[in-house]
Amino acid sequence: MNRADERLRAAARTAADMFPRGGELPPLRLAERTGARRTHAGRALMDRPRHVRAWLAPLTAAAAVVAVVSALVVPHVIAGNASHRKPAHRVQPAQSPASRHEQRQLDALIIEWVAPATGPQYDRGGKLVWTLRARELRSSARCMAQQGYHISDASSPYNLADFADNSQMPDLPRIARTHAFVSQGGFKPSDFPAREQRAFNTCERSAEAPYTSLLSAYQAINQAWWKIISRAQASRQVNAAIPALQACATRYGFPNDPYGNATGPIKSFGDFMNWVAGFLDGADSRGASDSTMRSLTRHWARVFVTCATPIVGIWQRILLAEQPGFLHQHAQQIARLDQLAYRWLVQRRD
Amino acid sequence: MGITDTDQADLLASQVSAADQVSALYRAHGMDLVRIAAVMLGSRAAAEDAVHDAFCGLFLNWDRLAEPQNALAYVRSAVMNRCRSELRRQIRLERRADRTHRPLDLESPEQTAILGEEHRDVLAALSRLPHRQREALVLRYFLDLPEAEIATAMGITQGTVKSTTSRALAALSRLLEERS
Repeated sequence: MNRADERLRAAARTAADMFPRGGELPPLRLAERTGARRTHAGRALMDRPRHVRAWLAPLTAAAAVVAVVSALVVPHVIAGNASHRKPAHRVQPAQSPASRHEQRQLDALIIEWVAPATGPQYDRGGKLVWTLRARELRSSARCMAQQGYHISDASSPYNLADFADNSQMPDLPRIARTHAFVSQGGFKPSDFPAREQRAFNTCERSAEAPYTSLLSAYQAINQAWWKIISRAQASRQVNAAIPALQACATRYGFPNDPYGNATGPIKSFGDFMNWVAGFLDGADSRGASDSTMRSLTRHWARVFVTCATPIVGIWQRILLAEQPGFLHQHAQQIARLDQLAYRWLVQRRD
Repeated sequence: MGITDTDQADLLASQVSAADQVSALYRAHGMDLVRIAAVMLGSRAAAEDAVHDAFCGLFLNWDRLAEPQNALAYVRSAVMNRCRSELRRQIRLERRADRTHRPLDLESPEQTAILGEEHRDVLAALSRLPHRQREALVLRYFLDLPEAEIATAMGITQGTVKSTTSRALAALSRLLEERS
């Protein structure tokens, strides 16, 4: 049984046995209206945005916001921290100028990590996680060495592209600069023997453990911020920009899709992104050469940036306006996060 | 003018609450949808969440459904949307975790449990296809849907379903060959 369709049918038969009709399902909780509304917001994440006006240079805007927000919020956070906690619990008892510099960098990163308002902010916020993961990797490598396995403890260099999210937080300046999307390529299955993989999993869990509290604190605030992102991306202003997005796509061949068929109307930013991505997926599926893929990517990156700029600009402006209020509202939680991040990422240099 | 059979049926239908109708649909088709969502997402728990959310969405929008007999198509499409959304979220989280240089344990016990050891390669190959191609194959093979209904669920034309399925099978063959 080698043919793909035969193997699929066999897998489907097994799946039908494993998930039989009439099998046990979790109870349907229709009465949970709040849960259902959350679902609605979740869909808004997919059925994203629309356009309107000229786009402010987001990199500059983001930097300005971070500077302002850092100046306004972080001292407030740290001051709040100091006044509400015993001295033993303060973040940085007596900082050297170098430490203060690191603290300031960390403060800015935390804001971009927790509540990014633009694609560039979103990408930069990833640097904090990269730092954290690099530490975990070193710890995992030590643990593996104790079990007789060697893995490299050298993390890959920080690469903005690794943190991209073109569907929700596209970093248009980066795409315009590099003429490339970030590869959406699937995950590569592990090549490690099972025993070594198991050892790695154990080491990895142990390496992650110290950072659990930091990530939990992050998640709580970040989830609240994503609700605001969902709201902004489903807002009236953003929805009103969809016709312009479709009109722009039409200039580049819409509604023809990568397989030569007419495709449905663009009802969301997600539809637009899928349409663009389809040309690359389609070419990839047909086994296009690297040079063809590079050329296609260059073309579609330009189309993407051109058409997405107005609509992305709208939701970014909404988010930039929401960001300072959000940070003030969550000042205590951010202070806690700041404290944890400082403890694990600045003070401990293992 | 007396009450016709149709009027009576309409009256009876209107008396059945939206909740009852959505619940009946959930009981009848919920497991089929969990099955395809599980294959899409590689996790039964995530699949059950996606299906549950889709039915909650159906319930909320019941009054706005132009034709209630299309409720199944609506909820099927909603499940696909939620799977897409969840997959993007996973990609986002993976990206942010910067695991690019670390071995991934994607063939986890849970993933294997979805279809069993003997189909692990198929599941792994499916997971490497572009989302649209994966959806087309899952709807075709795991839900036995005709092209017209796949087109409705995916929001694309029947022609695109044909070409997407064909290319997805070709890509899957290549991936399976690579693995073997």
